[in-house]
Amino acid sequence: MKLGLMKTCLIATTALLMLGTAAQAQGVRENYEPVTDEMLLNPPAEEWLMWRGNYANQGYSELDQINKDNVAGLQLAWAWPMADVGIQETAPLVHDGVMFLQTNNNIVEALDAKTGDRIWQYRHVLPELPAAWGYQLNQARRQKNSIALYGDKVILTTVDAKIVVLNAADGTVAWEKQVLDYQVGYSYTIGPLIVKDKIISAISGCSIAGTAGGCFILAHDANTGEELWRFNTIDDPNNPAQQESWGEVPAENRWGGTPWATGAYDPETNVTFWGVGMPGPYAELIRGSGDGSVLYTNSTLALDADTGELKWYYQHLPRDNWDLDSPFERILVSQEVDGKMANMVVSVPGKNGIAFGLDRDTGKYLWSKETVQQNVVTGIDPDGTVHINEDLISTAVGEAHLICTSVSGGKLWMAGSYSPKTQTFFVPLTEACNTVAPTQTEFTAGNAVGAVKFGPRVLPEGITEAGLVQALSVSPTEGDSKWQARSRPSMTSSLLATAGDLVFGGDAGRFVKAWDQETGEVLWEQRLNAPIGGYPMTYELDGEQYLVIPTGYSNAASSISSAFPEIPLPTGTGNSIFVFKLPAAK
Amino acid sequence: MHVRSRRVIPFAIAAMSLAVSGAYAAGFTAEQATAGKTAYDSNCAQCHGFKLEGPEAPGLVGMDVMQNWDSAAGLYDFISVAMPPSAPGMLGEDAYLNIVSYIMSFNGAQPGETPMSADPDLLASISLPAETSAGAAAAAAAAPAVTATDAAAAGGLNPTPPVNQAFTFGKQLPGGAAPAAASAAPAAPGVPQAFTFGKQLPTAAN
Repeated sequence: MKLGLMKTCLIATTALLMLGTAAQAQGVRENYEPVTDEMLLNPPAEEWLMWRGNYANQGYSELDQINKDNVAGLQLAWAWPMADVGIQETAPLVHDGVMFLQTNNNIVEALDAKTGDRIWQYRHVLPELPAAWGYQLNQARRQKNSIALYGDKVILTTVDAKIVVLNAADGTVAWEKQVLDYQVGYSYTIGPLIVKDKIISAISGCSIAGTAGGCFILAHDANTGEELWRFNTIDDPNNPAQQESWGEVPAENRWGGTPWATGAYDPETNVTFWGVGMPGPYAELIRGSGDGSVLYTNSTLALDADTGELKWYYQHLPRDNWDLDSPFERILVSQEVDGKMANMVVSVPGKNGIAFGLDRDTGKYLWSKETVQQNVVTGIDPDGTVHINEDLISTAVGEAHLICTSVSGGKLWMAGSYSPKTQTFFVPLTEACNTVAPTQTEFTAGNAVGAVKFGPRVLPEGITEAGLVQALSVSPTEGDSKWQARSRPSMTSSLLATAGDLVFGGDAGRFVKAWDQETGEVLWEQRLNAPIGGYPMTYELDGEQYLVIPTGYSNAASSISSAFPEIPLPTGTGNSIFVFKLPAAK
Repeated sequence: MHVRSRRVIPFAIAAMSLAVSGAYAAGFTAEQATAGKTAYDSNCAQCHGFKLEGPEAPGLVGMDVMQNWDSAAGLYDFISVAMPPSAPGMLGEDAYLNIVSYIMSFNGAQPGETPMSADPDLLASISLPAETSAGAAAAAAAAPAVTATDAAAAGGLNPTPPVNQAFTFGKQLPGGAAPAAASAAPAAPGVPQAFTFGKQLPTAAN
């Protein structure tokens, strides 16, 4: 196997210093096989090449060696502590026998995927920010989920708003580019999407005061770093309806619209799909936008991958007053029905947990389905018009309303997965509510413009279990509940569906579980060292399937821990990955 | 105290009141703030920082933080249910009151003779922006000298870039500050400002 070819040789520290990288002995992965466009279009089943495994963002693996008949026999192969103690939402990738593991602070480690030995590490040097920039400092310590593999490079987007391109063989910097100004608040908190020599990325930090007027999805040349296009999610000069939707508020007083989940890509139409977050300030009373829908916040955007031209948009939550943003993973689903292909975008896009099916080519609304308890959306018309509960809109500073779901979800960053085999969409969710009351604040550099006071997260009345895994049978006409698996602790990891008829994920109570895709029955569970986190994934090496489970601390674990006080969270972060496989055949 | 009769006290008015009246009774005692530091350092600092700077959890310093929580009740009601995540709501009423006192004290509020209690009306009457504005003003005055050094080290970081305000900033909103007070808010740091204060200035190229 390929690992047999791997030689780990040490390079003198002085040589590394000359290259200007970390003064640390590093290994080299020789004869690393470049990642081609063809691999990205059709990822080998035994590898995990991008954030959610494929361009469709499905979080699904064709591997079936680990299946519902033998999953109970999983054993630990190896474990590894992450290089950073902060909040983590890691999405490990595997290619050519190498695992690329990144944490926040833009640390990347290359590990031997069979043994867990480190090959190299890259630590990005971040600028020091003033201590008074509290929100920006905290944002820089969270939400860093994925990196990208392309050719012989590893591509990361950094919290100081750079694209950094590393040589996959040894972790040295090939080139880097400052994309936007971190000094006004821009930062990357999600990883890029690679499409045909282009790095498509989306900036975060758009609710920080200095970034007024612009929040962007951008494309750069993957070889030169040249900017090819950018799309502003809160100021579109080509769409008068977008401008009117903000009422009298000019672009320089608009914030938000952060697309903080990596987009999907449809090679058939060359269109990329991105979700957009909430508006800022959160409350329309403070925002000044009246009853405007504040586009393109809480929308799905379909953009031409070559030009950034907007093909269509659909707004899942107009007139957001509660920070219930809708940026989460858009999943591309294609089903053959009566000899015709139905091409859909399927998603639980927003914190309020409502699932949507859209026509991928037109943006036409197909169906929706409520999951967790929510009180903000009162109905959705057959044409897709979303009606909100206007009784919950504060009309005075300090006027509080109890909003379900909470600012922490419902749905949060943890991604769902779609199994083409069972045509089922699995979504990790949390039952929660909180009060929201507008405040009138003076914005300061490095800090957020939300201008609301949130109450503590509480369970909806009558509910005692915070965690929910919702399985939805997906068709072009409906998303129908197949099963629900509830747990007292909140869900804290993304989900992984496999051809072994399993769904993997875990909760704040430190349990990783494997559910039967058909029934929701728990077929395996293992208690680990910390809340289950990040993006579980799987790969195969030398004929053996491996299952990777990240653990560690995240906002998803802490936000509603008061709902399950008998299951205390650890005070240590415990950020680690645990790698399981079946016992070796005798 | 007169401050307790008002639900929301605009930043600028509070600063002016301080200049006139001098010491304030902030709704907590020095003993509470001292005990609060111990409780905070033991239970909160791991994530929120020993100087309340974060960054593993949101920072707890600054006028925007005080304005967002609005009153001692806003802060108490949240932390006494949700914090710390490893033992949510389990530190006991006194500890939470002491921690609120310490956070206010760290932000510049001055202790008084009346202890903070869990009486909801009392907590709601204690305005965080008003009570802490003296501290915020002092920090704003001191900040440039410190951060300029950092900025030089970091390659020319502008320590206090101007930022845009909400479209409704300075306007009368229902339940909000009176127009005159709100429009005076940009002068809120409470110290003399440069002629160009509040105006957009060019930022040096990197």
